[in-house]
Amino acid sequence: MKDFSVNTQNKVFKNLDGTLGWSIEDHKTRGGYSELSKVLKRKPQDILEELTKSNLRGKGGAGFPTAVKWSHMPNSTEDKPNYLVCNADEGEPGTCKDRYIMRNDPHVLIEGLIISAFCLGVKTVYIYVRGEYQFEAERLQQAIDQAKEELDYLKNGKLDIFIHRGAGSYICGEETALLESIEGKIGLPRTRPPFPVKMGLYGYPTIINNVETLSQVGAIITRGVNWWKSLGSPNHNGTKIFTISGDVNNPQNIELQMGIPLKELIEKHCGGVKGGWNNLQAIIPGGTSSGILTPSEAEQANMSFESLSQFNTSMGTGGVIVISKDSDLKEILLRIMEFYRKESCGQCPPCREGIAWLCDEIKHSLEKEDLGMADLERITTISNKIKGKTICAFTDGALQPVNSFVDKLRDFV
Amino acid sequence: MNIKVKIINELDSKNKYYAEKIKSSQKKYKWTEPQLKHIEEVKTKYPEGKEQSALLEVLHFAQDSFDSWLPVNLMKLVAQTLNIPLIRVEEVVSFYTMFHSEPIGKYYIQVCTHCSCMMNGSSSILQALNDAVGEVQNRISLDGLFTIQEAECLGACVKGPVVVVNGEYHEKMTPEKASALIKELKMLQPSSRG
Repeated sequence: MKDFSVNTQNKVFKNLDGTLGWSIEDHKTRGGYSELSKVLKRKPQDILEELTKSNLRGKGGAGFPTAVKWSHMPNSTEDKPNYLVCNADEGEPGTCKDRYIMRNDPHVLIEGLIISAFCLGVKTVYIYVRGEYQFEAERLQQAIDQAKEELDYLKNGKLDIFIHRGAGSYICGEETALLESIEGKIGLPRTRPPFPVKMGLYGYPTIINNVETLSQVGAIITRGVNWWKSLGSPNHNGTKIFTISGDVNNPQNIELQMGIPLKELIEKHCGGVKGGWNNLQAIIPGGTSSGILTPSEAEQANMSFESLSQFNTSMGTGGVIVISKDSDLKEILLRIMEFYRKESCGQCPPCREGIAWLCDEIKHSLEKEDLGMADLERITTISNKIKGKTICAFTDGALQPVNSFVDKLRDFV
Repeated sequence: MNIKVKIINELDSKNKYYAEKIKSSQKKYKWTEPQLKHIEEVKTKYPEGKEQSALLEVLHFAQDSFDSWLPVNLMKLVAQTLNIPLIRVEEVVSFYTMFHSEPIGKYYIQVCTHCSCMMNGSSSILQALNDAVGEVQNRISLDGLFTIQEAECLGACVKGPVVVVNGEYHEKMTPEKASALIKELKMLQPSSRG
């Protein structure tokens, strides 16, 4: 049987748990920045080709192939700058990987940013750090200052890395809302097209990627695509940080190979479900914007994009929430929906009004003793009226838990 | 309600700390030299002509530098400093949850009540905090010290339940620890009776 754990040598984030130091010296002793000068002598085109071979996919939720996104980036000119934006507005409930990266391994991110910016021909990088992560923003700034002193590439002004702090808004994790927020406005998502890669920050071409993705770019380019492909399973190369929380004995952030069976992840690496696997009620595999899995589905599922989409859910951010039979699933669904009701930016009426309506309807139905098919039908009807009628993917995220929950209830009604 | 009437009602509020804060916000706000210098530094992060980008950072700075909230007069100052219309500042303040358009207590306590923390007992922690704090009016406890707010996921899911006090994370909370925390913060205060 394949072992999906990652040994220290192969880890991208060697200090994720914070037991070692975070400073630039510590990062260097772990092999950081040693290959950087070599990488910066290569052709950007080569780097992009290597990235294409790696099959790297975004780790912020949507799972879009990184190299495909990057290949659309036009060359920058004197009067038309390009931007790279690192999305560190981690807000997906059940996810805290980016917080730990910035806190304990900030130089892995910075190295990734330098290499990514070099490949994309970008001179300015903005890291959008969630407002609540004050400590992490300060830590990251210290790390940037350290890197500025030691690394020629940053010293010579070839690249500027700036931190932009958010101020508490879930929707600002959506890439176009994030750009609006950097421009000092309220975080309302933009219509697409034009996509940010053509018209992004201040109207200029912009690439937006998650903290984990950009860190992994650095690791892939410095250690080579063959190393990356030796990890994970076919079609799902490399590693990923999973955040396991809820009713498990040992909740934690852990870097594992892609494609690990969900049951193995929980039983072997996280001390198992509280009260044993038989006490399992449901699992949310990728943050609350993904559908729930029943115990039998959870036994078959692997943590890969394809496997989870077979079960009508998604890997999202890799935030696994384990729900045992001791917790009230209905209460949890309601709490999730209240979150979306509160965080809707209010721009598109189907989302603003629809999710509130859906929330009330679910609350009303779940409180009923005799929950019937008609109730479930009504919830599905409302949800179908919202789906696909808004600018951004917020409603898709909000509807996934509802739809999967209703689907699973159908068998019992 | 007419704004003037509202302010008078608030001044009559039983919570004298709230009333005091409203009253003292009627003044004209001014930056000191070092503060202005800091704002100029923030502006340099963004391209020329894009000063509005600095708005979030400057609002954080204004809120931290003055009374932990953003009264209209302070928003006016920020608008002036960045040379943008007041409405742009007001809408941003009302959109983002970290900006307070009403006074808050000395300690702003956020309790995460989302799934992972909820499963680990955040509701009993919220209860314990509310009990320990005592009566609240206009969102501030009557001793002027605390404002308690339920919060969405604060990114500490693996160490929940979490309570954040003025930005500082307290992880793996229990109701006992929560009551002790409030007690400790109350003890820190210089006694007003001498």
